[in-house]
Amino acid sequence: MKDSFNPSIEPPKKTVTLVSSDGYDFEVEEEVALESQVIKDGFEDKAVDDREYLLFNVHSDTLELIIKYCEKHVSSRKSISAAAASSSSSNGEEALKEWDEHFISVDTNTLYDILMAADYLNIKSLLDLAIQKVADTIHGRSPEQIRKKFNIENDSIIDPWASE
Amino acid sequence: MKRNHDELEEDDDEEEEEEVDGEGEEQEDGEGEEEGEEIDDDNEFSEDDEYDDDETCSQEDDGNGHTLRIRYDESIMNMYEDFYYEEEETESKEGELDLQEFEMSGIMSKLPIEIFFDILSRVDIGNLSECRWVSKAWYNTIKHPRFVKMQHEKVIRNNSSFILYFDTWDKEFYLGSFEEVKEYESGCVDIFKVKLPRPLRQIHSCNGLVFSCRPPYFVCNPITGEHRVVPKSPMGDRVSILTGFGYDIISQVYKVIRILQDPEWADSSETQVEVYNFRLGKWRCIHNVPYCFNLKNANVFVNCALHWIGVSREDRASDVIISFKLDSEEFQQLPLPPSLCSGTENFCLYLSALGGCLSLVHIVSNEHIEIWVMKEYGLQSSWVKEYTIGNVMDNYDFEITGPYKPIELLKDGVILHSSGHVLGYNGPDNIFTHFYTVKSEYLNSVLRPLLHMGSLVSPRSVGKLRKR
Repeated sequence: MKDSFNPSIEPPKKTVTLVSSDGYDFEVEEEVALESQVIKDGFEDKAVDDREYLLFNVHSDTLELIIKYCEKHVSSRKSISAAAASSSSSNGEEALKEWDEHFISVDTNTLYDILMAADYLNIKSLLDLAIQKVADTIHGRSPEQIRKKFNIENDSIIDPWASE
Repeated sequence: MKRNHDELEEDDDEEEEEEVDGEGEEQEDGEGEEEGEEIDDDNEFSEDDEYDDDETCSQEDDGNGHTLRIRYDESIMNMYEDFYYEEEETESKEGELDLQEFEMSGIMSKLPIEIFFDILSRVDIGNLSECRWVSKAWYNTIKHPRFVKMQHEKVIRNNSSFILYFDTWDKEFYLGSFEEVKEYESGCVDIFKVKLPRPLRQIHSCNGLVFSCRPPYFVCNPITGEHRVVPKSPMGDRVSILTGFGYDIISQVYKVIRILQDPEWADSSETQVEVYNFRLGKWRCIHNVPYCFNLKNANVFVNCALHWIGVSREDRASDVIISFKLDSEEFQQLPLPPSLCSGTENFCLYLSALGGCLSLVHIVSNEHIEIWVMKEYGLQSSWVKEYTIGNVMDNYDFEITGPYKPIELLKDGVILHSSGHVLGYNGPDNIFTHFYTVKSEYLNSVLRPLLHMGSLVSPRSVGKLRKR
């Protein structure tokens, strides 16, 4: 399931292989992989048949999500610009925002993994999305609730003003 | 209870000192259990009774609670001396910081510090203040000078101020946002509350700090509750008729000014001004200031200068705007709108700041005010009469104790307040569409609204550069 990511679209596009930390290969379209600034940097210098990236810090479960995100963003961007070219009204950006919102609504551990992977791969929009999600999670929660949510040990000093 | 508090503070103190060396592990294990229990208690308490504001609270103020606060302040003061130096050191090895240094626990512990900073900088200021009590690591992160700076710059960039409500006799602040003003026509807002070490009478707010302008003077960050006393000035025995508080953007230093003037405006008496520079930690006196200041004016901070209304000593026939440039510490005169240059009575003009521009409220009558905005600083021809507001009292029977003054522009109007607890919201049609009562459910007294920029900047670190 995880080891092949077959784009069965015609004509066959250039692909890149991403290898997760636990050894799974993911074959993705070039433009999807290029969403990552880290891959993009120096991409052209790499030989075409050597376009394999070992992502030591990204587990296959997370990588699958990341690829899903990048694919969605590449395809949405295309449809948005196509809609703009034909000057037909489109709510593509709205829809993408909603999709993002749904995509990032994951448990704290997964969110953390996405955050780290987005940072490692330098995918700005995803990193921003994940950071905002964590900030939203903090928002409106009491210190105790935050500790619980993020599994933080309670070594806090006392708020001298809050309660006496 | 008391004993535990003390222990914890000491612990905190040491923690801070050790942090400079990047250590700070000891101590923890021995007291861990006790601490945990204590904090649990405290949190339960704070969740349930957070806004508890009755006699129990004030009784404790007179007793143990009070001493506790002072102790806390001292520990913060010591801590900040250390902290500041740490900032200087870390500046040079930028990027090497990581959360391990902060002894972060939990699943967020491996986050690069820049990302953690980014996350926290998106949390709004009221929540951020609460977040300090999540753990020591969070406390240290939120206090970290680099984070404070980052958050401060972000607030300036987004131009996100809010309204600070304060009670003239109490030690508490309330914060409210503009959205709330628009949303609620009357009643109470869910506002964030901070306890302060001293009550405030009259305050000025500038660049994240407030200055309490009745002696003994002090500056305070209402978000963190930290405060710092301003030493007595050489002419401290003389009563100042006006005070000012501003931030010199060029030298990055806060300054306090006191205006000493004979209330009778006698020709023979000179106007003197004292300026306190937080970095130098010194008062400086300016003699023979060629202006007489109008007593009923608050200072207005615009364009790195403070402003008052007054008259020139040479020509007392008409009012002028007196500006005090905080960088050069010089007085300067700015023009009024041409139509107001002569024939306006004293005390019917009030200065204000709207959307970063100097503005002027002309009280035509008690029910009718006009608001002028100086679009281009210093240019007389740029004065524009932006709002004409009439019938301000018709619909409501509030006892209004003074004229309305604007506190901030909204996209489609302006928020006004009178010296009572009434806020008016002037909508797009240039008429009052909302009235808003700033009345707290916790107190019976009058709260005064003030525009404030929510920052974590510490009043203790503002002058520390001097030591280097």
